[in-house]
Amino acid sequence: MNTNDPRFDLIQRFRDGSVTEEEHAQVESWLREDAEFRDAWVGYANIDYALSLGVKKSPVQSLPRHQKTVSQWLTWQPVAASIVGILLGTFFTSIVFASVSARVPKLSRKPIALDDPGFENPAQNYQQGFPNGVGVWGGEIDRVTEEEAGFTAKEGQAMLQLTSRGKEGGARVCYIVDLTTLLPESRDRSVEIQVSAAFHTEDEARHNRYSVNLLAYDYEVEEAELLFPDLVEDAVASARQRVDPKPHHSGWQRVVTKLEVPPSARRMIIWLAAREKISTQPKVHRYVDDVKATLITSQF
Amino acid sequence: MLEPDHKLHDQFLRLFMVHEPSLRVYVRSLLFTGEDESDVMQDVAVVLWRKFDPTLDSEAFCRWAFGVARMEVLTFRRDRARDRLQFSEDIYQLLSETVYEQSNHLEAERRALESCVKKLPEERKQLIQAAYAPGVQIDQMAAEMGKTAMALYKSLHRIRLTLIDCTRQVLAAEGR
Repeated sequence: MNTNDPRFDLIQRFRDGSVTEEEHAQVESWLREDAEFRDAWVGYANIDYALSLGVKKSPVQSLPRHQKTVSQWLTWQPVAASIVGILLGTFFTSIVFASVSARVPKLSRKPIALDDPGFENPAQNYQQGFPNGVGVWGGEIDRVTEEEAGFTAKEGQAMLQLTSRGKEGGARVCYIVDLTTLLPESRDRSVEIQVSAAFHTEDEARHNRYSVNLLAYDYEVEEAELLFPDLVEDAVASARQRVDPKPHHSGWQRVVTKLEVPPSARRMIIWLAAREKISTQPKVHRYVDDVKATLITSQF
Repeated sequence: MLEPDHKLHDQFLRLFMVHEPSLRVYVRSLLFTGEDESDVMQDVAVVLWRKFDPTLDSEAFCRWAFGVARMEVLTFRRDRARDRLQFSEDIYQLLSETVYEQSNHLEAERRALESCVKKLPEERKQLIQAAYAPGVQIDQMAAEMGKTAMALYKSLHRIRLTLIDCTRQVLAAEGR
């Protein structure tokens, strides 16, 4: 598996504990069915393990840890002590990363209020095309609906139905977030914003592709519609997570993206996209529901 | 007290040391942190020693050891109950087979990694050293560096991917 493969990012997020239930299921399915992914998974663990060895071999100061396990081992015969040497030797060899130890920050997560993130309001003013202002959903929006093709909303009663366009049968829905009201003006460090959305397509036999794109700007981006490549180029920061569920994947697919938002950012676009990975089939309806946005900050 | 059977101990240690790195990679592929890996590996070593069968050859020992490691990881996850999301047991089996079958290749990758780390720019080298130092918490380290933990995770991820590419190139040049 090439290191450009976005599934490597998912491996990393899995290891740092930030995947969703749906992503966990997706990873498990790849591990079960895709030998290449399994090799990549093991290769990543191998590099991780080898790096920890490399650090432990370097000249370091002593910082004893895990002493509770030692007392019982000390009563063992010499071979056991040798095993202890092998297994625990590295514990007693550690770097004091001096500047790190003083404070213990905790990550604080605060929901960001989006207008009707569950698409529950049939009277909502959804715009066709790129939204013309903050706090409005815009895109290839067909309607709000409660039940289609035998499935129901991910959350609540309703979901957003999108109309496919273009040769890939793609559809998008965008939302502009005003970061100036959300974040303190005087912030001197980046914050992180996580956005997730649930996707569904009426024909699950297809090669669907779902993505959540986040783009931050240091200007007020709402004036005009730009093409996606230009929007990416203009952004001061951007992040994308893409998921390609296997055909016949059943149910909603949640996609999660995190963006490190630099202090200069004033607007953020949430760009949700669903399209055909293989673009030869008739167009279908696609659905989005349960969009969640979270502000993640470090607190001491 | 019974005198230890030094011959048995020697035999065990030789086998254990040969297969220990693969076992650690396997455990790491399921538990993700060095601390958890070390905790589980202590238990694995104890069980292997207590139940060691000297008639096993190296391959049979290795297969048995992977089975023990699999059970210990399962026990660890169940006891700690920290993980809301857990793999099904068949994934444990598939990963153990993958590590077992690729142990030579993985060892070659670890050897190649040494030269790849040396090629890293100094600041990236230091970042890796600091992040992999025992006891270092990524959250703490990130805060001291003025970054978010997520940003630091991503930086480390990018370095790991660079190193994976590099080790592949080294091994390809060696004709592997």
